[in-house]
Amino acid sequence: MLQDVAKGRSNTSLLALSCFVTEHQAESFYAHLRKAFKNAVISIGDALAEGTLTNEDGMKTSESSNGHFDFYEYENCDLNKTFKITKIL
Amino acid sequence: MRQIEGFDLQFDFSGFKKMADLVYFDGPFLSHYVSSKGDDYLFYWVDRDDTDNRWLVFRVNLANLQKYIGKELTLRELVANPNDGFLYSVDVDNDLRYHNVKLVQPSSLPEDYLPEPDSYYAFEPIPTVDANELMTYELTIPYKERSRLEELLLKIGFPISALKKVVAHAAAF
Repeated sequence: MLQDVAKGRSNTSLLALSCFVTEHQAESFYAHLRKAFKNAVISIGDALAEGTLTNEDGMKTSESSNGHFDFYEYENCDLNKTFKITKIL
Repeated sequence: MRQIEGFDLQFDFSGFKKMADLVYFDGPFLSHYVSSKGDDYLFYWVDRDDTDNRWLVFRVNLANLQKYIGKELTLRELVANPNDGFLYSVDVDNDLRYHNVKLVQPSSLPEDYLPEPDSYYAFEPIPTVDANELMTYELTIPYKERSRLEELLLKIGFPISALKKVVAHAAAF
């Protein structure tokens, strides 16, 4: 990232909230991630939370083919009110 | 973070250029870099604590990297069989300072630092800005097609790193 920062072209993805469109897509991605990185749980946790995002919550990037997108919350957005942990992966 | 068995040494990573994040989720987990000599390296995330992230860095044959992207090799096979026969372990702190560099044998890696036997690639490469700038054949030829080109070049004895330098220099004009 420093390479990009030094050139004034840093990527903001690190600041976004990673989301998947469906529960199945999130579980599938996590399963593949754990196969490649056994300690991934230390970095990103192991809880799956589910909820509905609206236009009032923030802005999202377009979805990739695996259903992943980045979500940028607005300042007053509180996802604790609408997202609940549904599963420990 | 756990102690890892290896030889302490100094290694300068400053000449490395990132070509792509091969696995990314809220930050990179596996990244493809090219050294100043044109060699391909993988940075493989394995561990972290409050202050540092630990990466295993190892040189990789581009054809094998292509096979991994093409789901013909597993990540475990790449990590367990690095080109040089060893890997570097490096801790990177929150200010992106590299320290605690060790030379590590694959056989010395703890089991949780090794991918699963069926760790086939199931992600999408994210090329970096620098890769576009370098204009190497890394990106001008899509990942899945490069292995065939490299295999052809290897068969006729063409030095791959020389090709990268020629293309990079050409891009500078």
